[in-house]
Amino acid sequence: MIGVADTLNIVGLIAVGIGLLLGLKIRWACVGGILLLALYYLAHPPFPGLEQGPAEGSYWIVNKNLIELAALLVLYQFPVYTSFGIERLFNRKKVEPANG
Amino acid sequence: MKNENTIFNRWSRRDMLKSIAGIPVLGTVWFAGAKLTGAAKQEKEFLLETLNIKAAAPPASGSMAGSPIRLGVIGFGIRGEQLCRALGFATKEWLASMKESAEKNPNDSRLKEFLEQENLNIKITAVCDVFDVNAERVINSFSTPENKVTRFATHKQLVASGQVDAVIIAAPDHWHAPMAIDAITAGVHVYVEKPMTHSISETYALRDAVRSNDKIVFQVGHQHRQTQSFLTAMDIINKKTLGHISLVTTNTNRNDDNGAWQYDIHEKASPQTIDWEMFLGNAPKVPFNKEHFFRWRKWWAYGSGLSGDLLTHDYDRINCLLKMGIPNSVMASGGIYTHRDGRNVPDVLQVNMEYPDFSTGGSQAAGKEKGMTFIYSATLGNQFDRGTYLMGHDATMELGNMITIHADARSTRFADMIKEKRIDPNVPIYQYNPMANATDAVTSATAKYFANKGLLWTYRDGKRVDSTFLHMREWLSCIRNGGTPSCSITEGFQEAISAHMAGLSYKLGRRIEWDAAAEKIISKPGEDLDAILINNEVVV
Repeated sequence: MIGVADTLNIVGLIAVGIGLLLGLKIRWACVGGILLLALYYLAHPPFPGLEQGPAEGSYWIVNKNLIELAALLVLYQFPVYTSFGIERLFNRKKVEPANG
Repeated sequence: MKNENTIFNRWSRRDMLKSIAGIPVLGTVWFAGAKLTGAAKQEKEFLLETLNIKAAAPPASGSMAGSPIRLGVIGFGIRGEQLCRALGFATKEWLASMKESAEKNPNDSRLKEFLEQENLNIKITAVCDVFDVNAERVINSFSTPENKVTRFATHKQLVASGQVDAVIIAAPDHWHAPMAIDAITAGVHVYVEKPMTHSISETYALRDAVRSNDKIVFQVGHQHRQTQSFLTAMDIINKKTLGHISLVTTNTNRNDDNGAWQYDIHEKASPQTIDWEMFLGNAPKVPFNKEHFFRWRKWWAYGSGLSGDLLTHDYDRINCLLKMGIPNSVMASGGIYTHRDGRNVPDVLQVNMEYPDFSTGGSQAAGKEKGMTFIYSATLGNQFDRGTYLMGHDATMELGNMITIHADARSTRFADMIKEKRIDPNVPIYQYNPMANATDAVTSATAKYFANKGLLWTYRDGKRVDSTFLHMREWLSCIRNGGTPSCSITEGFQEAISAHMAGLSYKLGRRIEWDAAAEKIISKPGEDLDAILINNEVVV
């Protein structure tokens, strides 16, 4: 079972990474990224009273996973497909007209 | 838009740039990652090729097929019971207690491992133990309707009875040699626990007996020789990876009463249940004494203390690898510093063995390096795990269930690689871990101490296996299929003489030397070395 989870994790991360870097299916990549980061955050939540584990710095409730999660949430709200990435090639109609 | 340059009449240059700008970024990230892992893998393979160490498993011992071997048990104390378990015979009490402990702690796999042990195709047909309770436990647990275990009052009767093909001897040290010699002359195969002998003259007598009866298969109980990592360690030494080894350090660190031989005294022990005269044998005649019976390791009359009991294991471990034999001289010192309870064997002991002519080969100019010291350092008042180190000019090897090699910062062999920063002296250049890919739960610090010396278990194909079981199997295989076991009379002789030299040095407070040509320990005129060694009058 743990082998399956490991492989899925690797595949998921690669898919999210490629999606965000290339600009392909950004909304799906965001959702996937939010899901993975939520899992990572909940695996070792830096809550008071819990053992912290190896981390660069001392965290209290907010750690890097949570911040990246928030960043992805923000990214999800924007219509990036209208400006950058391969998705732009397929959404010509919605692209904002170039300013004069 | 219609005026702009477009591809497919749809996408302009601006569109293309904004769209595919992400691809080079992804490409860079991917390329950098691949390059890094590729380079790391290459470095690792280069290092492994340079070292060229063949990690190999020892050859499996032969088949156990054939008619069952009839075994006699001489001595069923703590070790005797463990030996029987290694042979596949466990007492009902042990089975019950292991079942209970496995129910409480699912990680405790001792019962499971015992039940999965290969069947060695033997029958226990006879037992000889001076304590009625022990003998009765054997009969009670190991007798079956088809195969009854007979109890004999003396070992001589047992070996002469014709009911046994082989015996395992787990009696106190002072009985090892007499029992082994009697068994051999009666034509019975022998597995004798360490130390092989208790006195010096016995060592020669036993050697003569084995040599004149070469049909007998004789094995001394140094089960660490079965450790998986040992063949790899031997390969490392043969390839001169470490350079000239000048110092080998081995240790014993224990800090508990059981480790200091304060064994339990059975409540049923009395002159009625123990054949006291038989127990004493050639030891000084003293009145019945329960302390002496159960805790015999504390007195020179019956045991040999640290030098015979624990030094022998570490000595044989290294002798198995380096084959250095009997030292030219031994200096030992120590005292009774941590368990002043009436014993007369030392509980803190340091032994230095000198080998001025020994070398495993070196990397520097011929003639520059020759000679080595073997050190055994022991205390029964501390449990810090020190590890066994073989220190060579080019590298240091730490020997345990795992092998770790660190290159030396001033090595000649690795000098170029160190300069090029391909080797970091602070990071191991080689590590062999037979337990990798096996889940392992070590039950306690004491168990880890024993396990690291290869005394409890080792690993075969990633599976944990009892070392004593493998050692027994090798002995039985030689009985069935021919051959000489790994720890036979030559190795046993070297171990015994070296241990006795250490004991003598401790008692006399001077350097003890070995005359290799005459094969004798050098003594002053008129000195009776045996009398000195087993003298039980030593007062703190």
